[in-house]
Amino acid sequence: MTQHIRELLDHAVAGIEPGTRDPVAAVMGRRRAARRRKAVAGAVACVLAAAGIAGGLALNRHDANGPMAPVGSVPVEPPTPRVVDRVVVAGAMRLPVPDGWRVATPGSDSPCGRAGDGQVLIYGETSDDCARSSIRVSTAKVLAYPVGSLEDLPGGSGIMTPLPLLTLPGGEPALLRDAFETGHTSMVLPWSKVILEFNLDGPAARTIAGTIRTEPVGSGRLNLVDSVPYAEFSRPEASGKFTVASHGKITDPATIAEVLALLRDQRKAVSGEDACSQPGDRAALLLLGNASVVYLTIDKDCQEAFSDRGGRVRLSDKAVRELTRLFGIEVR
Amino acid sequence: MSGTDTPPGFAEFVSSRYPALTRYGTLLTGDRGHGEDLAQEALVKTFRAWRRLHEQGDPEAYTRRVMVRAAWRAGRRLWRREVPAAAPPERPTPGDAYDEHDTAAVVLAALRSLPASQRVVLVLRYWAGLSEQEIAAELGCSTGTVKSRASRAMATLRQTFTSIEAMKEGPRPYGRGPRLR
Repeated sequence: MTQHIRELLDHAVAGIEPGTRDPVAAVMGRRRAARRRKAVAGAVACVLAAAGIAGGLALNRHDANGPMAPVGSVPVEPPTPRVVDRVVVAGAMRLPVPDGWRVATPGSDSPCGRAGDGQVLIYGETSDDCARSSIRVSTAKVLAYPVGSLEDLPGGSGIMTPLPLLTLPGGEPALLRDAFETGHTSMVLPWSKVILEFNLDGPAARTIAGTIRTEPVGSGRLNLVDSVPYAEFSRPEASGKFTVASHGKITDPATIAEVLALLRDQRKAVSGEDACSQPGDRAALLLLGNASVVYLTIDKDCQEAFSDRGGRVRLSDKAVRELTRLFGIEVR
Repeated sequence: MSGTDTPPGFAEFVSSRYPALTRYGTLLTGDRGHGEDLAQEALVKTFRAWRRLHEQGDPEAYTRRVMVRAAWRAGRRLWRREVPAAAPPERPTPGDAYDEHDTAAVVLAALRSLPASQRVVLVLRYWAGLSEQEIAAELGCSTGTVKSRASRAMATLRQTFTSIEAMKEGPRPYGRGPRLR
C-alpha cells in the first residue's frame, strides 16, 4: 500500500510546473517585501513604545501587564436564519448557497421537505436523494444542542466528552458530530446558537463547510456564570482516552468558586485570527451545572478555552494542571 | 532578474531546484499555487541562511524542512488557506468523478480534502518515507500525534486510492472508463 501511495502522489505532481518563470526574481521580491514589512513594523513599534511610555507616565494603570481585555459576550437569544443575496445568514454565521443549489425557507415546500419555523433548507440541484444533498440550518437556545458525546464506560456509567472542535474563518468556534466521516455531519456554533446538519458525504460537507465565514464576535475573556451547584470536568488521559479516573465532579461551593476564579484569571484573550483549535486536538470539557459549558483545547501545540457564553483565552500549562487538581483528577 | 544581487550559488540553486520544490509544496498543500507560495517563502529563509548552508550545509534539505514546518503550522489555522471548490459538490456516485478528472486531479483533490496536519504527516510518512519517530522530531510533536494523523489521513484516502487502483486493474462493466495517464 505504501508503495502505491507513493506512486500515486508522485503521479499527482509529475505534471506540475511552476507558474513563475523567474523564481529567483520572485524569491528576491518576497525578501524585499518582507524587509519592508519588518521596517514598517519596527517603526510602528517605536511609535507605540513611545506612546506607551508617555501614556504610562500619564496614567496610573491598574494592570502592569497592560489593559485587560473585556469579557466576551454573545447574544442570549438565538437568531432567525435568513437568506440575503444567496447567503444564509444566522447570527455571526454566513453560509453561501452553493451555485446551482436551491433554498427553502419556512412555509415553502421543496423536494427535500419543508423548512420548519426558524429554519433554512438548502438542497442540491439533483435533489432525487435529499438524504445525500441537503443542508438544514436551524437555531437553538443555550445548551439546547449537543455539547458533548456520552462515552460509555465499564460499569454502566457514562461521561460527557468533548466533541471535535474547529475554528471557522472569522473566529467562531464550531463543534462537530460525526466530523465529516459519515453522510451526516452536524455542526454546532455555540456563540451564534446555530446548528447545521450536512446531509452530504464527508468530503462534500467539508468543502461546503469550508465556505462558511463568521463575524468576529464573542472574543474576550471568558464569560462565566456567577455560581453553579455542581461542575464536571472531563479530560483525556495521557493515552488520549477518557476514563472514570479522568473525570471529576465537584459540588463544594468553595472549590467551584476556585474553578471559576481560575478561569476568570486567564487574561490572554484569543482573537478569531489567533484561535488554533482544530479537530483531532486533545480536548477537555467543563460542564458548569446545566447553565454553561467551557471547552478546552489542551493539545501540545494549542491550549485555549472558550465559553459558550462568549470569550476565548489562551490557557497556561499551570492553569490546566490547577484545573485538573481542583477536580481531583490524576492524569495517568 | 539575473540574480546579480544574490550571493554566489543561490540563483543557481533556486533555478535548478525550484520545480521540485514546487511539486513538494503542492503535495504539502494539495494545491499548486499554495505549493509555490510555500516554496518561495521557504527560499527566502534559505537566502538568509545561505552563507552557512552554501558552505557546509544542505540547502535543499533545509528548504524542505522549512516548508514542512510552515505547512504544519498552517494546519493550526484550519481552512483559512483551503482552496475553494471549483464546482458545487454533487451527489457522490463513485466513479463519476473519474470520468471528468484524471488520476492526478483526483489525488490532489483527495489531498486537499484532508486537514493540513494530516496531509503533512501523510506526505512525510508515505512519500518521503520517514519513520513516525523522525516525523515527530521534525514537527515537534509526539509519535502518538503522528500516528493518529496518519491513521486518519489513511482512513480518508483509502477509499480514493482503492478506487483508483481498482480502475487501473480493468474497465468498469458499465459506463466510460477513467482517463488514466
